[in-house]
Amino acid sequence: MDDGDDMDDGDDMDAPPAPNVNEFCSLSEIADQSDNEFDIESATPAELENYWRSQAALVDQGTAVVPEELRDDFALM
Amino acid sequence: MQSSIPILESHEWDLSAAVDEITALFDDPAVDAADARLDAFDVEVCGIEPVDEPADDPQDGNASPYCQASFALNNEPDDGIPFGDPAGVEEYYDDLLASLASLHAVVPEELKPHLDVLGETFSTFCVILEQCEFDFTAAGPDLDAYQADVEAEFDAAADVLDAHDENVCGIVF
Repeated sequence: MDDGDDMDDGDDMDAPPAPNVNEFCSLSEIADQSDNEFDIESATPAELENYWRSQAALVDQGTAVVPEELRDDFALM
Repeated sequence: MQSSIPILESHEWDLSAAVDEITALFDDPAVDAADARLDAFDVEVCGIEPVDEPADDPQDGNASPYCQASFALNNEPDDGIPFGDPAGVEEYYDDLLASLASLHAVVPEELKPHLDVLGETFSTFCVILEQCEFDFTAAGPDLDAYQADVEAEFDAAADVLDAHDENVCGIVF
């Protein structure tokens, strides 16, 4: 059982991710899931437009919370 | 993503008509590198498992040993490069080189030079990584520099192999 000594200074504890990282990861997961589920080969133009604009909206949301170290990479996508 | 919307709009969201322009838009080593870093962040920080979609089976027209081997290689389970795990990185590249060696044993003569480019590139990647004990972060600058040197040749070779897979083997990715 942990005697709590290390908890005083947090040495063996992982720092919780910054809130924007959590939000960025959530958006990334949603975008990946949509991407995996969408069959681009058989999509109609209307379906493609809906999918593309939805993904673009996720990118817009991601831009607001992207971690600083990924900002330049994300801007390229 | 946003920059491609005007292209699609101009083609009334007909992807087949817009695909060349969109491909050209993202055909940039800097975009590839950025995409790889974002994917790595997804895996390492977000814990998102990468998903590989299986390629279509070779069609009836060509079931040569090379086509079969290429199809098998493209459908091997692949969780991506375990960037934060040096032992896993070493194993990943060992497996990749072994797969390329198997492919080399059955590759048509005209494709050999192109497959050699891929093999030499990944072999050099391994040498660079080995010098850094397969620590991707430590090897990053050297890998980036090497990648910049060989990227055009690598992409051209990969394009030839992909075209053969698609047009001769009937493998659709």
